[in-house]
Amino acid sequence: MLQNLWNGLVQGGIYAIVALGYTMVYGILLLINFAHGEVLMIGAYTGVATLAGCAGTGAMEAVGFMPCLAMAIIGATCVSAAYGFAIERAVYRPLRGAPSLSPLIGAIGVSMVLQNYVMRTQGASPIYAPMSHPAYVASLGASNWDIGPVSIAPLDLVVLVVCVALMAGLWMFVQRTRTGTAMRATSQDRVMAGLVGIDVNRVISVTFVIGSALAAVAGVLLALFNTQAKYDMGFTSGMKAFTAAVLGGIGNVPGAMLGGVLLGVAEAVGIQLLGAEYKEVYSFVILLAVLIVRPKGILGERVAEKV
Amino acid sequence: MTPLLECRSVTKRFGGLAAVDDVSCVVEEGSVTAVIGPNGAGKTTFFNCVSSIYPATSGEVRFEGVDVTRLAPHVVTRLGIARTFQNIRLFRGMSALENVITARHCRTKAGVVASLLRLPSQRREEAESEAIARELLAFVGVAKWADSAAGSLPYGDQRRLEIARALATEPSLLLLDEPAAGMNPRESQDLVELIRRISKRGLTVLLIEHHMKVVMGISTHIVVLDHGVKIADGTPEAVRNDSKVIEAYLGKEDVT
Repeated sequence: MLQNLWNGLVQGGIYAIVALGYTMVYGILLLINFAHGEVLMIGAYTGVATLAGCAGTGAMEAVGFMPCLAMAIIGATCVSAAYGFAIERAVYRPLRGAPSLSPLIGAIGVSMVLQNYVMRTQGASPIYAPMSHPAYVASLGASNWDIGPVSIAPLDLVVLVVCVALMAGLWMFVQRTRTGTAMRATSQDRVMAGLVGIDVNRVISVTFVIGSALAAVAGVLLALFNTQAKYDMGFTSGMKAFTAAVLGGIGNVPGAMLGGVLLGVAEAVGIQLLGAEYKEVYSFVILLAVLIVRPKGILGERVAEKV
Repeated sequence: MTPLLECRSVTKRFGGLAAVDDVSCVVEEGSVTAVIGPNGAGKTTFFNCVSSIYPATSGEVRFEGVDVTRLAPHVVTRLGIARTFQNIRLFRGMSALENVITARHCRTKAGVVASLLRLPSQRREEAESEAIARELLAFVGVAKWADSAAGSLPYGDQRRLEIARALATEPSLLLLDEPAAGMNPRESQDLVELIRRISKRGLTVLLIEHHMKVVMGISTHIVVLDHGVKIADGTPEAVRNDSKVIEAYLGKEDVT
């Protein structure tokens, strides 16, 4: 049981950082960015490809696994951030004044385009992270630590540390920086934000860049978890993170963090009680339950717009 | 000398309706200019065109000689136009102080790195912004609410807070949309006093107001709109005796 909870916590950390991307975009544009999962997938691909590249060229032997992982994460972050920025500029911005259904359908369109684009160019079969590489085995492949009944894999710990660091960093960014304040103001009243001198378009671009960068990190971590990246991995992880965002109260940054962790843990409990075969079912049952019982989520203030 | 604000044939159409129809007027630097008119006269639409919430369909708004008709709101704010709203639009989730500090955005420049590392330059700027914000809260008389959530302030103080926030952008032209709406006589008297003090700070004030006592008490110049059209423009005395204005407000005298 405790083991399952620990696994759920680690999984929940990943959901949480993806959920942040959904919630920040929704907070500002009232748009569910259904392409967010695909941005994550592109990050995962970039990361896995970088790791494979490191392994193939012998760089991984030379410097060890962790520096390669850092490089993979940085590379994935940059590529995904560029995608996020471009998607907003090319699709959402021109649709800004349109009825809210148009950008939503645009988002679904972008999601399909990206999935098929990756499938066509990278193939429909997954690419694998070099997890049998000696450098990996030497660092994160080491045997688990047993603390009481819980066995902690080194990778779990890396994932959790990275997720917590990102959440703390984002929180500081939103609360402390000028741009963060501008983001909060924009999400409360976009017109008014412009009138107090905030460049709203810039804030929106920054939001997409940050959300996409977070998704990229999550993508790389997920790929390590599953040892692979695949063109359609964005869909499930995207839907899970969306569920987490709704659970916590969409538009609400701490809510997304809470929702992610809760969803991960709830899944773990579900697996414990009902078996792992229905793992994917639990989160969507939770999504339905939240939408029926408390559509504004745990920490949400406003009721979610109909989409 | 170029006037601070000059509107040339400003027209705003919503479909077939001309909410503002060919309005030309001038706001002189240092004046307190009031825009009055019956409900639906297009006053707020006119304000929205000046503060570039949306661009005029045709015509031109010039501020300090610069054409601002089609500029983005944040650019216009940076140039020196600030406004308040008839239906208060505070950042309700933030404290009163934060509301005002947020409005310093266009006058500050600390980058993300400087803010996260709390470099001395950023700390200095932050401290300065906070000092200015506190000074403004005191200036409008809501200093005691600095740390309260903006949405929880008493109604009249929310209006004052909105004015403080507008002032924080360091405007040279301040637009007030019905600042005395919903205020009792005492509160509106205080408001008149506040507008006088704002005017003394060297700001030019353009306001929409229904309270004639307020309007006549502080305006140096009045523009009257009716059905989107300017029907009078002049000193309070001249406007008060204008037959077209009387007709717009009281209706036409029946001659039969």
